[in-house]
Formats: sequence, structure tokens, C-alpha cells
Amino acid sequence: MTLGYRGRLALLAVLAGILGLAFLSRLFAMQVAGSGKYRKLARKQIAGARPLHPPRGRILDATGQELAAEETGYELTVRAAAWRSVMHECQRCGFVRFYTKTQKVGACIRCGKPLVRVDRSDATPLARLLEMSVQELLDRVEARVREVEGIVADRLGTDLPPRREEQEQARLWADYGWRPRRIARDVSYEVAREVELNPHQYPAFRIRAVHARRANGGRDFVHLLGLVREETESVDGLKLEVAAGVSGIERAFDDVLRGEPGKLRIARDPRDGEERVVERQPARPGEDVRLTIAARDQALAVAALGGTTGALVVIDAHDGDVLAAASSPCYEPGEYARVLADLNEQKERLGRWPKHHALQDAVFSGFDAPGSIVKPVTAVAALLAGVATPETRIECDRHFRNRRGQPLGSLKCSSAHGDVCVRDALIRSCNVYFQTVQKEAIERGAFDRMFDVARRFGFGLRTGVELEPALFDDTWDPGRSWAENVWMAIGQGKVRLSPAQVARAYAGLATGSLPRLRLVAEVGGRPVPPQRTPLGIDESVLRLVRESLAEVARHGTAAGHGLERWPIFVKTGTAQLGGTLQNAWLAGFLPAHRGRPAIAFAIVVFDTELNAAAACAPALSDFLRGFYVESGS
Amino acid sequence: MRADVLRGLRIPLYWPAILPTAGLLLLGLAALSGLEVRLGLHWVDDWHVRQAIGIAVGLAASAAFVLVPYKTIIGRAYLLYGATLLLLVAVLVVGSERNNARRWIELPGFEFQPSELMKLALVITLARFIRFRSSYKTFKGLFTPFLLTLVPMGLILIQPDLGTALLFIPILFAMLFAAGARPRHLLLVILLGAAGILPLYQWGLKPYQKERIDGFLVQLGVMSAEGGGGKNAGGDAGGKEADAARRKAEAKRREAMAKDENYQLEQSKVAVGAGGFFGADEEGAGGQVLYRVPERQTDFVFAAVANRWGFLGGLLVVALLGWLLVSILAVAARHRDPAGRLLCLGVFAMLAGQAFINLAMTVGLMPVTGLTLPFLSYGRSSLVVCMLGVALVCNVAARPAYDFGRGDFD
Repeated sequence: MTLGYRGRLALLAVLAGILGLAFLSRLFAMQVAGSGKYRKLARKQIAGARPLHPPRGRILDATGQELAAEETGYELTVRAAAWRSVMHECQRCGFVRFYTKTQKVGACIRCGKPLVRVDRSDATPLARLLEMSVQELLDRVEARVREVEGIVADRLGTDLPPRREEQEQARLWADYGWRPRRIARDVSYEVAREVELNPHQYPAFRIRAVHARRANGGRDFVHLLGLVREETESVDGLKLEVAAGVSGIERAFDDVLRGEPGKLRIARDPRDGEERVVERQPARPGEDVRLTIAARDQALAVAALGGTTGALVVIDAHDGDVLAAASSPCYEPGEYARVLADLNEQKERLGRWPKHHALQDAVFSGFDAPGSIVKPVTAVAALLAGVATPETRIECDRHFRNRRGQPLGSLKCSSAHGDVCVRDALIRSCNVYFQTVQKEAIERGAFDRMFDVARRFGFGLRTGVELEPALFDDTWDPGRSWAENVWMAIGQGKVRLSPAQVARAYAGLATGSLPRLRLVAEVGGRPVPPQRTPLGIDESVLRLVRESLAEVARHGTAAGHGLERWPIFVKTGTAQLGGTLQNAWLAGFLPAHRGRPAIAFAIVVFDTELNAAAACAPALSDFLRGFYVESGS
Repeated sequence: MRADVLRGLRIPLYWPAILPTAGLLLLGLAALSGLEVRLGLHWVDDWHVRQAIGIAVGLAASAAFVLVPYKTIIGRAYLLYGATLLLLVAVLVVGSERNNARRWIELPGFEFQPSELMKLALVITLARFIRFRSSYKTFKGLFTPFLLTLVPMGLILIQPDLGTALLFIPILFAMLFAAGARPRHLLLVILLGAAGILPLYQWGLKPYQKERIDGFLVQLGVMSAEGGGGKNAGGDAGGKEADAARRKAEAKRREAMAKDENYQLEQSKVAVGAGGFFGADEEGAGGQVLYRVPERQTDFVFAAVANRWGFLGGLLVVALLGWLLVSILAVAARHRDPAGRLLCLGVFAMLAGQAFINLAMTVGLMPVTGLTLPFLSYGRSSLVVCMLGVALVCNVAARPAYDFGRGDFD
């Protein structure tokens, strides 16, 4: 039977149809019936994931100047496995592939041209870039290769059959051999760029970014900003080295500054090792933290303290913004290791840690006996509790007498003040007056009311600054004995205050409200609102105390030290340490002046033989001069 | 007067062929859009723009081609054939070399692949030769059509371009068979050709061409990665030994995947398979595997379609191609002029053969050959020639011959 023309056409059509159906069946088998298998294979080709470093947030001063920021540096690394392999290159397109010595060399996957072995002398341009000799570069690389060989040898099991050993060795090399190992640190951006942009020229080498924290604030801010250290963070099982705050703002705001690592999923071409990002989960950068302190004011405070051991804190009396917080001694952040070594040496010598040292922040954590600095609060408490009136007068013959009328010698006044009222007592810092008032309060059962007033001024309470230590107990608790409770009135005994607490209490005296201290003005651009709590104290009482403090610089315990040129309300205080050493305090406030807000301050000089005014007034004067005059405000 | 000229210039449109062609062209543009391909150190993703330029050129060329009556074209067939042969010779001398092959003539602004034009030239030449003869009905008479085919095939094999060269065989056989050549003669030729396959493999193929065939056989399990043994290397050892042998063979097959010869094919299969029924999620591993298919914008564009739009996308491609081929066959069936019929059949064989070989190699039914998928693959020479083929069909369909009674070739 012969087919006609149309029959033959039909046959051709049927043939084409059969081929089409065969193809569709195959397609169905692959895409519908066997899709799972191919998707699994596709997933297998995802070589792995890589964490993305989140840039740590900056710490800025009040004017926006960078105090701490992340700096990216570069390291040159080598992949030992690539170096050990024999590199082959396509002369046409630059395609590179590594072969072990036993592998058969193939053709370029792009051009089909045979790949040509590349001589190892390609280290010359890189050595030139790094400004080192080729031999030095090769020595460094070989050292890294030997390092991997050592790791592989250590991990290689013993007593393995030769074939198994070969397989295991290959597996270990595939695992450890391709990890980049550093051969040069701090390479310049130009070198990093050259190596990164020309991977075919430097095939075994890779650039690794290194993120370091740069503290621009230097020694002025070292206690406030704190330190960071490298920590390993895990992101879905991926390890990432990140900077973690260990002290200061860096620690207090670590969760804000740190950000969140991202992740890359990488697919690697099994033939040429070319990597491609298949999924990017971007890192969330850390947020910036802006302080309330201007770097300039902080520098003034640090300079004012000079070489003394002590602290100076200045706050906005209304809002509680910390305007300067200097702690001395301080150190350059880069000298931490040396300072720590010195400290350890001192510890060895003394048998204990020194009480005050460079690594310690004295403003927020330096709790110590406040001495007469608390007397204005005692005065307010006594007037409110009805234990004393403005007219109540007490005879001071230097000695305070106990319940049996016996004079106590240890906390006597420096001279006999005679018949003094509360005003005189504040101006002349009369211990006898305030101890007698406190004794009266205890005897009349009004001690609790007085204690409550002290609490209202924030004694024994947190100031609101995040740098205060976690342990915060019994710094201002009722004493265990009658004497301790009496001494509390003059800031002696077991009570402790930090300079920040003192400055805050004086802000309360100045404004009638107790502000919550604020060291951070903004987090991630969001302002931190100021908070203040009214003290609920009659204004006439506060006025009486303020008027008294205004006289201290002119006629009182701070007179003759140059403070009288300022419109200053101030109180001195000394805390006896035994022997001739004492802690010298000066605290007070100034009204808004020359464009600056009303401020409250506290300054302490530890372990000094000088009286309070002599120890603290020069530093305070220096600071105020810079703060008001030299700022040009 | 002017209206008469315009009427004379009216482009004959054969919608049953034009609509599926337009569908395929649009699908090709969509597949190429966003398809990044690495060129040197850069990733380029403007293939759809380049393809659109090719389509514009193809439309212009097709419009010109369709205006000239096909009988005039047939009349210049030998001239066209000779000129294209000269170009094939010229490409061996002055052609630019890429991917280890010398296939392109570089002209200012574009590159041109004479072997693509030869496909159409061969169709026209064979149609001219066969139309009023009956000598091809004898075994001896097959000599001239085969010579006309084998000469350009030989020149193209020298380039080398095995895929394009092999496409000439279905064109020749389909045209001869439809014209009425004796099936037994054609079978005899096929048997003779089959006998020459082994010597051709051994001595006639380039190493990379052998690797592709080896890779194809390895992925089918016909041949082990080491080149010896077979799928049932374990023989009749039975049970566990047979399983172990199968596992070993599978491991070797995977190992072979990493080797050059099989890489393209394996990656293409993974990309197609990962497409599933509705297509792979581009962000997921299934979608991203596409980036490892070499030549995904040209020879393996179907992998991109199947990966992105899944089985539905593949089905659409096959349906559009089927529609186009059926419409071409319909013209061939109803046309009365032998030359017109042969032209349509030649174009049918050219497009069907090229499409099947390309699709089959993408899913591992055939070894990898450098052949584009008509209308979808990036490759402007191929695109323009395929569009000219459809234009030729439109040309034939728009010019019915006079019916003198019983059709030719019966």
C-alpha cells in the first residue's frame, strides 16, 4: 500500500505529535512527578550561609560629634587549599579553576579553550602591592598552609585503611583548607580593592573586613563610653564576631548599639567555585546614641580635675541632663592593657585593690561618705519635721553631747560656733547644730520623717543614669545604732552617696523638683524625655536654705577661694578617713547665666589633706570659667 | 495611482501561523527579561532588549520577504544557495572564534551566522530541485539532494556546529518523504548512516562533542562515569550486591555531574525539575539554580521558561509550537503548487526538528547540541531565519496556485 501526499503529511504530523507527547511525558515526569527530587538537588547546591556584620551604632556627643564609631579595616587572607592546588586559567576570558595534581585538567566552561597552568610567580604583583619581598609573602603563605596541614594531621584518625585515610584527608582539606587565614593585617583600602576586584589575578587570596571600635572621645569619655570586646554571636547557627559592650554606655545600650546580624545564602558553582548570593537578609545596623554631654564641656571638666583623684559632675538643674561627668584618674582607651597591668601590680603590693583607680568611674559608681554636703537636706528635713524652726538656736562649744550629756570628741566642730541658728549652721557648717537636731528628731520620734525627706532628695536611690552599678543596697539606710543615725545628719558613718546623687539633690534644692538624671538625649533619633518629680517642699523652707548657701562662698566655709565672683550657691563637706586624709566635697548650684541653663554640680577630691574648699574650689573655678566665659556664651 | 501601489504592497498575513509565532516571541521576551548572565566579570540582564531589536529586524526582513512572490524566491534558489555556501566558506576564513568555534561573521553593529541562513537556503534549494522532478524516487536519484545537503553540512561541521548540521537531515528526509521518495530507499540511507556513526564518533567529533555525548549516556545510566560498564554493573549478583552496585553507579553519576561534560545537562535538568507545576520561587533554591545553567539565554532558554513558569509554561511552549506546526502543515496540505508545498514542509521540518532537538536536550532526552529554541532563544541570526521561515509560509499561503486537478506528488 502506498500513501498519498496527504497520507505522508499525516504520517509526518503523527511523528511530530509522538515526539511532542514523548517530550511532554518527560516534562511531566520531571516537573510534576519528580519535582521534589530536583528541588532537593537544587537546595543541595546552596553552598551555605554567611552572616552579615551589623555596623555598631555610633555614640555622639550633644552637638553630634562622634565619640565612638566603627572603623572597618582589611586583612589579607589566603585559602590554603587554593594555594596548594594547581591554578589553571583560560587565556581568553580569565576563568580560573583549581586542580589537584592528580585531577585531569579540563577546558574553560565559557570558551571551551584548554585551561593553561599558571605559574606560582603570580605572587610577585601581590608582594609589590604589600610592599614586601616575594620571599616574605611566600613564607607567610607557606606558614598558613603548614598550619592547615597540622590541623588536618591532628584530626586525621589513626589506624585508618589507606583508602579511607585518603578520603578523610580530602574531606578535612575541603573543610579547613578553604577557610581564609590571615597573612597580613591592616592592609590599605587600595590594596583591598585591587585584590577584591581582580580575583583572577590573586586567586588564592581574599580580603576580609575587620570591624574595630574607634573611640574618638579619648580619655575624656573613657569612663562614660566604656569598652567593647569581641564576642561570638550565633545567627541561626552561624558564628559571627561582634563587638559587645562590657562597660559604660557601650554596655548599658549594647542591645541598641549592636544591631542585628543579617545573613547571606550562597550558592557555589561546583566547578569553578564561583559564588552567588541567592538570598540576602540584610543586617540591621545598630542605632546611634546621643549623649547630653558636649565634648567640649567634658574636656573642661577633665582638665579642671587635672591630676587629682576625684570626680566632677555638672547637671542641668531643671531637666537633669548631665552636662559634664569627669572622673579622675582616667586613661586613653588604647592603654587599657597597661593600666590593668599597673593596677594588678598595685594589688600585689597592697594586698587589695586600691580604693580609687583609673578603671573606675567615680561619678556614678564612686559611693563614699558625703560629709557636710548633706547638711542642707538635713536642715530641710528638720524644718519640715518641726524639729527646728528658722529661729531655733543651739549653742556650739565644738562638742556634741550624747544622751547622757557627755561630749563626743570624734565629730566635733573645728571651732566653737557659739549660738547658731539653721542659717548660721549651714554657712559655717556646724556639726553640733545638725547632730543636736537629729538627736532631737530621734527622741521625738521624728527620725522617720527626716529620713523620708532625705529619700525625697534621692539619697540611696538611683539617679536614672544607666551607668550605676547593679548592686545598690544600703547606701542610705537607717543606722544600726543611735550614733550612726545621728551621724547621718552630717553625712558620716555608714551612709554613702555618689557625686551624681549629690548633684541631683542640689538640683532639687535649687528648683524644688528632683530631676531624673539623663545622660542619653536620643536613642536612634528618638529623644529620651526628661522627667522630674516635685519635692512637695514649702518654698519658704527651700528659700531659707538657698539664702544660706549663697553666703557660703562669701562668708562661709568656701570663702576666700575665688568662688564669690560667681552667683553661686554652694556647700562644702569633708568626710574623715582617719589620719590626715579626707574626702573633700563641694556641691551647689548656679542660676541660668550667660545663655547656660541653671546647673547643679558636685565635685569630690578623694584622699586629700586639704580642706574641702581648698581642694575643690580651684577645679570648680577652672571649670566655671571655661563653661561660662571661654565658651563665649 | 498611489492607492494601487499600496494595494500592491499589501503584506499577506496568514494569522494561524502569525499568532502562535507572536505568542512564542512574547514568551521568549518574558523569559529573557530579568535573566542575568555573567559576561566576564559583569552580570548582564538586558537580553530581552537585545532580543526585541532582533525581533524588529526580523519583522522588517519578514515583511520584505513576504512581499516577493515565493516563486520569484524559488527562481533565485541556486543563487541564494551558492551565496550562502560562499558565506560558509568565508566564515571559516574571516569568522570570529568564540566558544572554540568559528561560526560568526562580524559586521559593524551586529554578528551574523551564515549556517542559520543555510537552513532556509537549503529548504528553498531543495524545493526548487524537487518540485518538477521525479528522479528522487530512485535510489540513484537521491544523490543530488543528498549532495546539496551534505556539502553545507560538511562546511558547518568544520566550524564546528554539530547541532545545526544535524538539523539538515530531518529537513532533507521530510521533504523527500513528503515529495514521494521511496521509504525503503530512505531507510537504506539511514542504515548506511547508522553504520557510519561509530567511525564518526571516533574520528569525526571534537573532544568536547564526545564529552557531551558521553555525559548524555552517563546521565541515562547507559555508561558509567569512568566510561566502562553499564547500569547493571553488579550483574546478576543479586540482592545487596546489586543495590550496592546501583548506589555506586548513582554516586558516580553525581560525581560526573561535577565534571564538565555533564554539567550543563545536569544543571538544566535540575532547573527544569525544580520548576514544578507552577514554577519555582525565584528567591528560593529552586529558582536560583537557574543561574548555574550555562547558556540559559540561548540554547537552554527552555530551562528558564520551565523553571520560572513550571510545567504550565512548558505546556504553553509546546502548545504554541504545535499550533504553529499544524498551521504550516495545513498550508502544505491544501496548497496545490509543489514548490509551495515543499517550502512549507521544509519550514515545518526545520522548525519542528530544531524545537524537538532543543527541548529534548534540555530535559536530557538527547545529547547537548548547540541549537537554539525557535523564537524563544536569544540569538538574532536564528531568530531572523525562523521568522523568515514563517514569512515564507505566509507567502505561500497568500498565493494559492491554480488547481489543475489531481495534486502533485500523488
